[in-house]
Amino acid sequence: MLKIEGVTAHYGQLIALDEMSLELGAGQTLAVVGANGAGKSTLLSLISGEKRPTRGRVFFEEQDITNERTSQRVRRGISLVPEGRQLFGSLTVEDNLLTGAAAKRKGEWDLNAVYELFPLIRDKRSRQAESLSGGEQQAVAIGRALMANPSLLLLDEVSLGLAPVIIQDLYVRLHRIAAEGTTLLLVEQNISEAFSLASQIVCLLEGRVILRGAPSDIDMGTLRDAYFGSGYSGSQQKGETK
Amino acid sequence: MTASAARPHILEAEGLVKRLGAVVIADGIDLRIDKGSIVGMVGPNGVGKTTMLGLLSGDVRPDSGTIMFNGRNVTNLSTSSRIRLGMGRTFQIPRPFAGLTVFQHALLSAQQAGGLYGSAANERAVWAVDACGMMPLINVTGANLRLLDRKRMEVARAIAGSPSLVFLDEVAAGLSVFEVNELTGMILLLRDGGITFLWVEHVLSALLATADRMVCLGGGHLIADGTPAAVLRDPLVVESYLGSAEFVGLE
Repeated sequence: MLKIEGVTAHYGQLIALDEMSLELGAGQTLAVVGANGAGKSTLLSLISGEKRPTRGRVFFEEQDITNERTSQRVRRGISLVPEGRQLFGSLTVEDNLLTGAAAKRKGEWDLNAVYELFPLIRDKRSRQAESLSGGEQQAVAIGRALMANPSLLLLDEVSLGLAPVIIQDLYVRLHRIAAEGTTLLLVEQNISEAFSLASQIVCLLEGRVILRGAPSDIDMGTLRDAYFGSGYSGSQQKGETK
Repeated sequence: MTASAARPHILEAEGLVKRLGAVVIADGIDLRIDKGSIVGMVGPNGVGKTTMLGLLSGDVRPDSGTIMFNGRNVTNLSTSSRIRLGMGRTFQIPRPFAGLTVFQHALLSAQQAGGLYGSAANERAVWAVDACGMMPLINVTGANLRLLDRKRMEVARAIAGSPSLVFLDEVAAGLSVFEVNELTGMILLLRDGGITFLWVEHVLSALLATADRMVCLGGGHLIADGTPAAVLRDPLVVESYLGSAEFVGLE
């Protein structure tokens, strides 16, 4: 479904992704982990269309989408739940959800289906989004992405800053979204939730894939080495600058 | 462990009341913090943990109640006065000055908060940068720091002001499990060096690795107060905050 072929991406002089390749089949759930600065969010930006690679191609359902705009990609079925939710704070919950339907893709997700998935926000549909708690806002952000009826849902750090009970609740619903056939690609620091949801784990280090496997095949020691590279020591890791 | 009479309290808040519209942040909260301890504060999203830190540090005024810091009533003192008396704080979303280096951030704090000048301020700033493991980045500007390093610098800036009490607001959020380990090691060293911490955090592994005591805020009250293990088993905490007790073990 998704194929990333040798992409390199820069921020100024800094290489964020370094000839990285990745494939993701339909119906799979892929969790991308790695240290801060490893290139995880850049990868999502390349797939969602917010950022263009300096080199390499991005294919979605066999089509080369490397130079397509974000709006075109949403119409193809790629939706992003951005880090920090990025809701329209002064709009109501329902209006936020409706902005997600702008692509007019056909599918099972509409207001009712989203409210069924997140009953809590149904009761608050007329409230301004900025008045909601962090967990409720995250539910709206996921609901907004679903309103586009994506076949590939990208999630950037959905558990950030949320209470444990809220994180569990969100993940129960993500399990349901995955079970219903949507392909998920998530960037997540919460290893336990990421490992329980994902069928595949990819660990990035300095813009490259350093480890890939099923969650059951990856132990914490291997993962730790992958986070920091071999010969890691705390001071070395801090030595590089962005 | 609850507050013992043997250890002096660095902070004593009594009868704190704060309402924001219909939301009750504090409904008569008493909170005493032992000198030299690390106290973790947890609670559901939107319950007012950050506002609590604002009340204690001076950014937010209580409707009633008193706050004693090192035996002195600071309830009506401004944030800047409290900082000069030895309070420090980090913020949830680090906002460094884009054009200032790590050293300059720490130096500003050593001068403005710590009241130090000349070489004493320089030395204190270097100490704070070093204590946070940021010597390799000392001349990097705020605009060029990545997340973990921006968070480290929040702590460096806070401790450069020579505080005796530091409020930490979600400094572990967004860090990988391994980066959290580095952070907790750093906080424990600073505690051993004499700094007391009140730490608001959802990343429970960070609090379990460091805190002597944990409190859970809910509905304007401390609904639980005790050792982290005891608080995280408390039925009220499990119901309102954790969801399930196994979750903590997984973290």
